[in-house]
Amino acid sequence: MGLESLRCEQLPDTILPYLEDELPSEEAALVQQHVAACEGCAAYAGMVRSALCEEIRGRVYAYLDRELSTEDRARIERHLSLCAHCSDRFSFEGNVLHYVRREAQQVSASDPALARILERFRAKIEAELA
Amino acid sequence: MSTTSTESVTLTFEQEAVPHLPALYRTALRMTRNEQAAEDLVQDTLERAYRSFDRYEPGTNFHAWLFKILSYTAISTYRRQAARAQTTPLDGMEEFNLYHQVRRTGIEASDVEASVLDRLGEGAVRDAIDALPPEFRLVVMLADVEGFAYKEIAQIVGIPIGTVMSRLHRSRRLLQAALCEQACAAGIIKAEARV
Repeated sequence: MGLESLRCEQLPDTILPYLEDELPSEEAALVQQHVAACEGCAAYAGMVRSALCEEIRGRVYAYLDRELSTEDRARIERHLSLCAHCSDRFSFEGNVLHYVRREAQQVSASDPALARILERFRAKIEAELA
Repeated sequence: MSTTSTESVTLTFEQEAVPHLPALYRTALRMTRNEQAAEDLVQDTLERAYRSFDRYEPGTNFHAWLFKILSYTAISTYRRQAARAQTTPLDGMEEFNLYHQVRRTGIEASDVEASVLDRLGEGAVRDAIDALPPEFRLVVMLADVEGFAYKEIAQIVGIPIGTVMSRLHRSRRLLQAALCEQACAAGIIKAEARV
């Protein structure tokens, strides 16, 4: 890519690395300049950004459940550091999940029921053996 | 099998199974939503596990193995009953988007636990879980209460890992919708007319 300017047809190849903060700073500055000046590319960049955010948010539970690889975690965390909307959403989901886990785990098993279950199980097995 | 060796198998099985009973009963309670039915389900699970105990490979995950039997028994029992009884429809539940309602009320996303959820009464989560279809209730219990990994849930329920993820995603959306409904009803957040 020439460093003096960026043409519209170059945007599809650069927009995603740009949004994911993977471009060298000079190239990133060119993309930024172009998008600021070109209405069509600004709309396009907006669409790609929405699609990227949607993809990231689709993985919120895999992230919170610690089911992602180290690379995927890092990629999501980089996005969260750049995107206030997704960061807000992740924080919300983390809060709700924390609450649900804490509350649901309080459903404790009552001891009399456990003893009864075991007693009935033994009686049944003994009856079969007799 | 002689009586003596059968007795020793029974004893070994019991020793192995007893530590898992509280967790099994806890999940059974949410799957059946009824104490008597939960006892029956766990007892049924124990019997099935005992009868196929010779097929259990020592050293593998006994906890997950018992949950696999419980899940299978719970879902097949449910399917038998479902043929007779109608289930609660979930239509429209997803319109209660907790995130949007909370943000609209002006509450910060990071404050939702303290400002909204902790103000819901005791049993709010239990009621929200109970409102889910049984297949969804099961993955929520296995993931959020029992702490199984996606891979283990896939093996326990007998579904692909991608299905575990999508089912869990949908379950949590529905759970949030139920909590949102409760929060609106309690006046903690303002209900918004459907858009």
